[in-house]
Amino acid sequence: MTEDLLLRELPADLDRARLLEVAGDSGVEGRAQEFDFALCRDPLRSCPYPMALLADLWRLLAPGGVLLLEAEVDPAREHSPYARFVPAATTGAGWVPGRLALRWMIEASGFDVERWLGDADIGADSRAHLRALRSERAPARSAP
Amino acid sequence: MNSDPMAPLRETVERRFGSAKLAAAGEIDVAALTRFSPELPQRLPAEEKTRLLQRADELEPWLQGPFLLGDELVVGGAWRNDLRWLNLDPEVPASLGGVRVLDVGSNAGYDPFMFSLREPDYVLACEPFAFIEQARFLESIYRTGVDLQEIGWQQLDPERHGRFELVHCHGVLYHELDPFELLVRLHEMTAPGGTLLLGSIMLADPSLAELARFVPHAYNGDRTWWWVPGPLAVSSMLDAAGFELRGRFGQAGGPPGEFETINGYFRAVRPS
Repeated sequence: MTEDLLLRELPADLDRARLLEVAGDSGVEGRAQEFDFALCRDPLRSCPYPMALLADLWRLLAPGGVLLLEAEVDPAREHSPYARFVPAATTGAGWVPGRLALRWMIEASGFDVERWLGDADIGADSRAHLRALRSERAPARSAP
Repeated sequence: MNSDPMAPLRETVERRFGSAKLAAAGEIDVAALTRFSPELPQRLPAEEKTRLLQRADELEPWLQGPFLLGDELVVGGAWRNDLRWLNLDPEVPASLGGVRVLDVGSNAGYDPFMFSLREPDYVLACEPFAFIEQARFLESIYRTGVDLQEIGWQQLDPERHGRFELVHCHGVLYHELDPFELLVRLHEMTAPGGTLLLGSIMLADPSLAELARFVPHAYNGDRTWWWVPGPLAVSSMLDAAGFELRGRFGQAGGPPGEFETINGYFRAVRPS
């Protein structure tokens, strides 16, 4: 079911060389604008630097490219603008955001969230799936 | 090349405070101000006062302060760093002899100048933005020997800069897109057995203490805020970065804005 939500967003005639797949803490590599699609399963939970990861995805996707993301999220509605830092001795630290925080993080990274996939946006599910488009807007930077 | 390095900062500060010319907050008792140099003159000639005031004016906006320049000449700022030091003072050894001090996010240099009064072996002050021009101006008066470097924490390298027995970082964490990365670097820069004094704005609501709030646009007009962590979230990040938490101090109200905040310090040690 989870894979269906993301995979069904891929065009049938997709050139697999233009697809970037990211799973867990596998990291991302490639040339700027090398990909048209990025399919990411649970990258934030095991990534201590999520904004750097999202900025990397922006760099690797061509303008108009599609980010398909599955993420563990905090299902509590009152926690929606927040994220939880999750230390883990063996797998490295990561983050579990609320849905609104996840959306803001992605938008600050130069993407426009097109829509949530499935009905996870309105439910109390701890997993979210979304489709976002890589905009011309560069990712935010820490600056005065 | 921009001939006025302060111009972008003036725009940012004007957006936040409504003016780039910031008066010192509250009443200032000149006699009670810290003298960052024993050489500060009790009396300044009128033309020297004019020169100093003109230069201070060119360097607006001043966030840190108050800085006594001699006589009764004071550069105020939006922040009362002297009041923050009422809490910090008892947490710092009276003598820092034999200690190397690193200050991260030094702004106009108030904190490194305070450390220098305790006669450490060396103070490295890092400030990547144009506020360092204010620190250079003050150092030209105080001559403390603080090593002012126009670098961000990202450029700190233990191979190049060495490690430090005392690391101080105030007001930087919530400006970072990936705050944990800052703490990992501070750990790398702290000598084994050394101490980190970390100050930050945090979430005030105890029920949110384990969380961090993302700030997508601005906090009270300040677009440089990204994550405001709760105190337990900071503790968790410090622990994951390799520090042992030894306590908290200096809690005070944070700046007003879209949600309630507090300001406070953590004392943490890098295990030997």
